[in-house]
Amino acid sequence: MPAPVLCLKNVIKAYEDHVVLNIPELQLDYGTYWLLGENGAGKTTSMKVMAALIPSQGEISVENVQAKQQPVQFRRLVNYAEAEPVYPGFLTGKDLLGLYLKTKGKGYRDLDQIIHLLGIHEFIHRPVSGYSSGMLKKLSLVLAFTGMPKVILLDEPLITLDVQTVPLINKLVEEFHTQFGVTFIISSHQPVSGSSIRLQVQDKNIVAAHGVI
Amino acid sequence: MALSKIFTGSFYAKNAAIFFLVFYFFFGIVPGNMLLSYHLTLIRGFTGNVDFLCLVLLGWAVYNAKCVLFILKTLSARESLYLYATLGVLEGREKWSTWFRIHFSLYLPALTYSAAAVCIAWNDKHIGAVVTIVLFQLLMLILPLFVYDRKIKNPGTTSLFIRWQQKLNRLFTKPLWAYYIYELLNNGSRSLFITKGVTGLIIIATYSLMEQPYELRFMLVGLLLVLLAHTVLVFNHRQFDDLKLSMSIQLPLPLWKRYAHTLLGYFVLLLPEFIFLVVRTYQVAGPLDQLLFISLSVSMLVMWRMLLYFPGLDQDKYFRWVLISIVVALFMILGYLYWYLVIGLQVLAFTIFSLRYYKYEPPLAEVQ
Repeated sequence: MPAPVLCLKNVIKAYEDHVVLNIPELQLDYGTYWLLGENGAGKTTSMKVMAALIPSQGEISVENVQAKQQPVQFRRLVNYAEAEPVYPGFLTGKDLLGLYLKTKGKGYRDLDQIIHLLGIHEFIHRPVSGYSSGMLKKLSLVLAFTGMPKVILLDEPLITLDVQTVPLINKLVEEFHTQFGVTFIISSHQPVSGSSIRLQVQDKNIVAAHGVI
Repeated sequence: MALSKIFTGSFYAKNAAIFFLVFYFFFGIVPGNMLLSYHLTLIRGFTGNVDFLCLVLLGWAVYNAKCVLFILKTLSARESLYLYATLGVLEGREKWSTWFRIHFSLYLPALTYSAAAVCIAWNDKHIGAVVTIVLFQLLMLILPLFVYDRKIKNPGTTSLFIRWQQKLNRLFTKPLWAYYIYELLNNGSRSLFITKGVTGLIIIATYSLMEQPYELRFMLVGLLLVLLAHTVLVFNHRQFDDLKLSMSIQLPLPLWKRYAHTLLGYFVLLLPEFIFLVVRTYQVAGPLDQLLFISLSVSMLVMWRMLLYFPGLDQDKYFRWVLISIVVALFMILGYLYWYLVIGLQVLAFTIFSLRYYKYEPPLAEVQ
């Protein structure tokens, strides 16, 4: 049996005394996971905790690399794209891409191809303050595909995207999953992959939801 | 009437804080009975000295550029599209007089002061200064009119500045350590320039008040005041990181590199002061003293920035800690412990950073 890719043990996230997330144990094998939950259930917080972007109690690891003990290595293995990305307005798409490529590395696939595929090359030299929400979303998704991560977390990746881009993103997810062995955790109101495994944020915990799509 | 609301009214309203500050420096810092002699001395100072006059002309040119950029920005705004259909149809004398009225109303403060300067210079028989000021102000009044005319004839075109910026964007990638400097230049230019103006005055005052011979401790005390003027900029740095740079935590950067970025950022932020200090003190302060100015300044600002990684540190508590650190630094400077102070600040700052960085979470009130 293969070792789990992502492990969470005794993870508790609280704001002052209010516990918002309590995950005694969660082990996710290689796969594509669809994270479900009502509005305000804690999907975004769960994803940020999994990516170790916000502090929490407990242990989080990806392929035995511990988030707290090896934060730099952990960040090479996990990428995260926000639901509503925010960047300093004076930066251009090229600046952000340069920053991610420099720190995370070039990645599994030639990013120029993805940039052209999504039409980002047309506005990549403009400051992001002039981007529409869809353009910003496309850019943040491309940034999530930089480096050689083992886990990519996409928070609502399809909102604000035009209808032509949605199948392209689905295809990218499929390709990175099957060809490069990346595990995806996606929170979305629309199904992203035909073979995704459902997870549910329920009672502050993440549990397996019934049924495979 | 409508045009004066669109251009003149909004220009003065938008820049009220700057006008208030300038007004204060010109009319608020001297007693009423000395006001006339103060301005007479000031005007005679620049009409009788070529270097000083050049500096004043440069100041007026900067103000003129500000007026021009404001009008161009207003014309470029989406909600100002109707101006192309109204101002754009004017021809001949009517067109030029309209542009002249708009620009004149914005540039009026500089013209008023220069008119007074011309009268005094004429009276003092400084004919060279009179001719220079009159010709300069004529240029300042006439040249912008052609810029406006060109803009209104070419709606929707990107300005030379924007095109130049786009070319630069293609050539250079902005480094992570410089993001906050860019942010200050783009969205915090007012507070940045006010801070730099104040620190310039502090350096001049410190050097002027210092009794000869040169005393390092006196200069360092002045430097502490310079750093104190930067406290708000440091506090706003946290807000920038929390609200606009939250993605940076997911980059696989070692702590020492993140720390080095902060050091470099503050070094560049303080570069104008360092250059000014070298210019003022190079004859008396050696390279080691200059190195001390730089090390102490950067270390202090970095330490204040690192304090902000503690949870619940609001503005009040932050300023309290800033004042405590200033007092400690003051006593160490008076006790000749300069380099111990620098090392202490660095050790403290890096320790706080390494312990707090991954545990830090933005205050809820800030991110909501």
